[in-house]
Amino acid sequence: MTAQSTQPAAQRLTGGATTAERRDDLVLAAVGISKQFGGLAALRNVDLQIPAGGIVSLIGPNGAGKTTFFNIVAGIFEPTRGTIRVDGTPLIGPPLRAWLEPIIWVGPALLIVLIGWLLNLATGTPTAPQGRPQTAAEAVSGGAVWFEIGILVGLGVLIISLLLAIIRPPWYRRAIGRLGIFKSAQPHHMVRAGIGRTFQNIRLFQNMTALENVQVGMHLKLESTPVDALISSRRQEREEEASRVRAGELMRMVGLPGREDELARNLPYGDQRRLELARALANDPKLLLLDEPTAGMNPNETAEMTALIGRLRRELGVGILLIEHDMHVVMGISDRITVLDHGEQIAEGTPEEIRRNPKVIEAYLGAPE
Amino acid sequence: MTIQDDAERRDLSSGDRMPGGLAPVRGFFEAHRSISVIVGMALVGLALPLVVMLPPFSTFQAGAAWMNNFTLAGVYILLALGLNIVVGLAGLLDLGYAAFFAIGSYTYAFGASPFSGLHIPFWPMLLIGALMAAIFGVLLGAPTLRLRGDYLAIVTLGFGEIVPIVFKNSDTYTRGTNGISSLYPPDLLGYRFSTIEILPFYIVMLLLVTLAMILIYRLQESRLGRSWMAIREDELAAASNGINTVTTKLLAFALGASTAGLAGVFSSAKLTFTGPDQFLFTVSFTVLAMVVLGGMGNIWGVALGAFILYMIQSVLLKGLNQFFDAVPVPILSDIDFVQYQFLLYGLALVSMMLLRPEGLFPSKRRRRELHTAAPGDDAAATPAQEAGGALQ
Ligand SMILES: Nc1ncnc2c1ncn2[C@@H]1O[C@H](COP(=O)(O)OP(=O)(O)OP(=O)(O)O)[C@@H](O)[C@H]1O
Ligand SMILES: [Mg+2]
Repeated sequence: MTAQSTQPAAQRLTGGATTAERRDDLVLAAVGISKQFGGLAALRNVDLQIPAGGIVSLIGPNGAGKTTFFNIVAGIFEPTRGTIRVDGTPLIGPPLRAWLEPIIWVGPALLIVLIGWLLNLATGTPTAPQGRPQTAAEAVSGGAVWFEIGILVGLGVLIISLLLAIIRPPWYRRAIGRLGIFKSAQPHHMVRAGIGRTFQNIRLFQNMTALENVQVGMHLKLESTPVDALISSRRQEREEEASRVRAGELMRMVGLPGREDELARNLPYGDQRRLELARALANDPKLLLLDEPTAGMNPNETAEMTALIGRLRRELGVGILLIEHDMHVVMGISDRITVLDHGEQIAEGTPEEIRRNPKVIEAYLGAPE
Repeated sequence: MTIQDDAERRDLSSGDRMPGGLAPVRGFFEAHRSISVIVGMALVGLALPLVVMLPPFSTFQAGAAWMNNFTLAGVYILLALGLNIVVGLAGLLDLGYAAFFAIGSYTYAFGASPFSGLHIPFWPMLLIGALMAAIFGVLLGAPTLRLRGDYLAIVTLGFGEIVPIVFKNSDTYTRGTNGISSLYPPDLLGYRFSTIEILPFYIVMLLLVTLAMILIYRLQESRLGRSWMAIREDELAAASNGINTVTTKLLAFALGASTAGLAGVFSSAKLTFTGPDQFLFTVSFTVLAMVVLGGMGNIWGVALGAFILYMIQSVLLKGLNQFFDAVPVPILSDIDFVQYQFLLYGLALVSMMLLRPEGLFPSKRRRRELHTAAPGDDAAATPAQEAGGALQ
């Protein structure tokens, strides 16, 4: 990290590095991730790579920073240091040329005001109002108006660019990306990039039906606009119908057939976990982040969930990053395992290597599970 | 957990079933929302003028006065339908909603009055007013995007105060406290609407309300409506499912505001006047009370709530005054009931929160939300849930 941080920031993001982070078959490449919560170092210099379709587990005692890592990958927390690439594209990392962006917002507006002012000078008419105008029409028409028009249009342009800055549509992000500006992606951008997730504490939309939950998960797959909805267009109707069918399929896939119209809150605990999985799958992710998918489940349910995760990888080819406390599950299913302890990455390797690693054994004996 | 839930599940499904032969009819109307709204509004629109010709109502005030009240009630129905998008669907508490009503009204005043020298016809002005209000909905919504709950309420309250004050103090452009008067009334194919003939306004209002209801139903049942609901339920989970919460919230503000803009254009065209005192906080508050009393999230419920509350406020309370003036009961005849209307709202809202928090005519969803155990209760009991920070 010290060697890297002496390089120019742009180089750190776009090239230079020769390590495996440049490999293109990696869905996720996280390099040097650190996260500081005030005085607490929740993560220190964590590296993690997930090949397409691979299952990687993240384990460690309570409070090790596993969920924090998830939240960083999902775009919810910004890391204090480190970068994350998805399919080779940097999406999360330190901002680059951030100072340039405000100039883009303000510049055009100032330019327009300036042009208005120059036009006023050129036409040479006085700008001072004569007397107190009686009607709005008079108030507007007195004197040369170029300057006023300039201010109005400039204001409009300023407002529009500020709105673009907070909405950040994809084309805007591409455009400023071309100017070398980089800002970390937001959660919905990470979803668009193909990352789906579940939560350690189930976060379903409790008062919506199971089917609606999955339909929300399909959000980015659907294309109908609010205008389609207003005019109730054919596209809208066809798409809604298709989304219901697809959501039903996903629910069958995770083992919830026939439960479509039940409220999420009324499902038993294990089914809620399945539903969250179906919701995360609805966007056809390349990588699924599963935060303790078997927590609170009985051995039977745990076995079913483990089988389901294996099937997802086989049938959908989706990569999985798994946080799990149950060592049977982890050892049985993972290609590779990363171990965190107090934010420190203490080991990385195949299940066999991890099982024999003395540091890991020590960490777990120090904090018995 | 399971026993109680099973009971509730059965309860819900049996509630959906209708006795006997009504089921197919109900099914048809649920499948064809627009038709059911049109039929419903047509029936209501026909029934109201007829009902007020019957004794208890006809003795109370003249038919034209009733029709006038109904038409103005329509303005509040539009307002309540719009606020329902923001508060009921997207879950964003907006206490400054009257600002957009004001913007719609002043847009019409600028577009069609001798004061501005312009005379844009009423019909395109409806669109322009809605559009202007939508723009301001976005502008005033944007700074509040990161706020939630109480904070959002306070900031929107501030905006709601600022907008009428700006209109009040920009003398040159708005004639300040005097307001802008003699706005041009609408005309249609040579027929000029006038304040004396109320029926045309009534019909236009019926059409506007019908249109608004159809469109809002469509939005509610679309991908956007689902996104609003998802944000209301859990903003973080919504974002983690690909919803751009910023755009989605701004759309709620914009669409809610545009409905208020529509109401503003209509109301100023009908009154032929616009002044800053029409848009005080009491308007925002009244509309919010209508949404809450009627049943947040349920379009028909909100419309009905607005209608009832408006009729109580503008007819019943005045009627009580007249009644007790004529029948001198010692204390009651001294009370000006209209002055106590907010006291009454307060009482109504408090008793509502105690007895029927979901409103008079709640949506099915809202009823379930408020009448079952909170979802966190049993989730918190499992050990796996205890770990983690604010986000987990
Ligand atoms: N939003 C936050 N603000 C401050 N501190 C936080 C925040 N989120 C997590 N932490 C702290 O960071 C540390 C790591 O927490 P994290 O939730 O990532 O642990 P974990 O490995 O997921 O643990 P568990 O196995 O219990 O879920 C903890 O000490 C936690 O208190
Ligand atoms: Mg955790």
